Amino acid sequence: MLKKLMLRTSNNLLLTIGIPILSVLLALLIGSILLLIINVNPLEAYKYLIFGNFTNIYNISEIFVKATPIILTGLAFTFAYRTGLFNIGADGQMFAGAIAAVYMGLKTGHLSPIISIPLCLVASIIAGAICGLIPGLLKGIFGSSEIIITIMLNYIAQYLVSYVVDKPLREASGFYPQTDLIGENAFLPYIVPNTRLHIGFIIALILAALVYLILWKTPFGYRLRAVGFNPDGAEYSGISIKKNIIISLVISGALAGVAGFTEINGIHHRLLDNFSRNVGFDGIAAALLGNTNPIGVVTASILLGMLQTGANAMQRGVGIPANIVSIIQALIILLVLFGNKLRPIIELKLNKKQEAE
Amino acid sequence: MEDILSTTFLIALLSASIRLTVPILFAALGGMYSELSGVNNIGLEGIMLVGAFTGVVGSYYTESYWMGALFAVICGILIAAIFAYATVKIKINQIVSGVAINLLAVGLTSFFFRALFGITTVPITVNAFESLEIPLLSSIPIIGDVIFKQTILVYIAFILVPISAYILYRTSWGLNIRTVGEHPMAADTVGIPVDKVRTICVLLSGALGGLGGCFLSLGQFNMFVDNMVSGRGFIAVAAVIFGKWSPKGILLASILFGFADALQIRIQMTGLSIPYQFLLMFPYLLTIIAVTGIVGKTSAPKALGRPYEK
Repeated sequence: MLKKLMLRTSNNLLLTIGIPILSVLLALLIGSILLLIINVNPLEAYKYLIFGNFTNIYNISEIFVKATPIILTGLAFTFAYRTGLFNIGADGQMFAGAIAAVYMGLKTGHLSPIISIPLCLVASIIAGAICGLIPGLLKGIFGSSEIIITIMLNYIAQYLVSYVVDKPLREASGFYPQTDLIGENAFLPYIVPNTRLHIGFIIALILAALVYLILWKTPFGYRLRAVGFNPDGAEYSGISIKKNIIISLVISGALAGVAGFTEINGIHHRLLDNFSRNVGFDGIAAALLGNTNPIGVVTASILLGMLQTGANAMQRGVGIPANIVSIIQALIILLVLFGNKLRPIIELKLNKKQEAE
Repeated sequence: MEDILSTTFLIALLSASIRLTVPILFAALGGMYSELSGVNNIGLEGIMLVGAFTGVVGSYYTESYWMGALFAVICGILIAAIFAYATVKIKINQIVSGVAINLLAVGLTSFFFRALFGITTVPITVNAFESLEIPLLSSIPIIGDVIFKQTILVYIAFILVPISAYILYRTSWGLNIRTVGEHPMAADTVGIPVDKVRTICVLLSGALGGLGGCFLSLGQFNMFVDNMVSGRGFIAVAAVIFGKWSPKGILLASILFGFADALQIRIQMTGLSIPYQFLLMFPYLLTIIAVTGIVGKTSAPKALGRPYEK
């Protein structure tokens, strides 16, 4: 009995890690066909894609710089997904968070970092939460599709950023459509000297741990997951679906809002039009690749960060458009989903085989 | 300000409304077939993007916009085939698959755009559809200018509305589609091949979505720009909901969105002091309002979003 159980756990672990790895490899394989079509040697290109990062500390640290907002938007998607909701609006929630963070950074950046940085963080959380509250209320009260509403809010938030940098917060010289630099005391401290790796990465890791604890170790999280797992059953046992839908989207939005904070206070130090677009969708990719589990999300985000920085190295090295990585990313999602569907069948076969031995 | 009330302004506004309605209408009709059969297709955004890009590629290499449109339809079907395989055959979550299809489309189009045309400062222009004046009808005051001096794709889009209504409510095929979307198990029991019907509907949404995208690049302009669909595929999905899954309703919803878009462009041109970004938000805000509360939820196909497993 015990042996059986151990076999099963080892099989589980094997598949949990195996399916994503196989998906990545397969996606790279399909990507190499595209490269062959445009007459590029895939081996040469992939050499840059995979090893292009590891040339120096700065490039290695860039992987984690890229991964930071992806972790946060990935957690945002995960949190809603576990309540049975699709938050496609992490991009917009991140933009809202960024607007709030830059405003606070401009206003308080001359004060002590101990005051300024937490204020920026809180502002971004509130802004992101409001962006999650809107679809939450509309879904909870009217039953409107949170998918369409969060998508539409992405576009609205994007134009809001464009407005903010164009008019009310345009830099003092008024030259570019961007804000002034926030006060230096609002800059997030760097972890590794002479790189851009800032403590936003640590904040993302802490939030990943928090999301894990909330969802799996508290009664509150149990209720949220119950709503996602079986809404009728949850309602029957006295859990308010509406309330949990709203709370879940608010927290989800807040998590994505923090991504705006880390991007502004950690990297750009000002708000720019078109900054960090599509990070919300990278987050969805990371969430699915990581099996909507915070540990998985962190791992997958780092992998995606690696692919994206590698893509830049590839573009410089072989002159192929870096966009190939977004194709590979999309293929990875499809293949992971495909693999997860096949999983029960593979599991059954593995167990039978091992029992026979 | 008196500009707004002049006849020229009105004609320009209404004529632009029709043109901006068409891509949404094509995609929304496609989305309607897919949703009526039970498949939620938010991949329409990506399908349209592929259509917009491949339409330009086709027209560029053959110098014929008809070949461009054909190529766009074929490629729309191809990308929809991936979506159909994922959602109907393997029964992966439809929303997640839709997101993946959209990401794939963004990647594929921008990659091949650069691979084929390089990084250019001047946009690549191609042969695009020209407006076709319908004799007699086009000489009717105002209406003639607004409706009967458009490209042929516009006429095709509007004719598809009654055709779709006929197919859905007067043919056994239409009945099959609606049965599969409402009650797949019952459909299966009476021998309707559920997965086959759904696959065909998704492929049809690919063809129509591709055509809608192609209208953006070859009917309105004569070029492709990254992300040029900018949410119209999602707005089309909203138009399906707002139009209560019926061709007539979808036509009206698409016209509303087309008008909203035309109105914001025209207001921008009048130089009012409203920041242009707020005007640009207008169609998206309208979409949120449209899917909230105004329409009853009762008419959604009951099996929408649920994979059918025997």
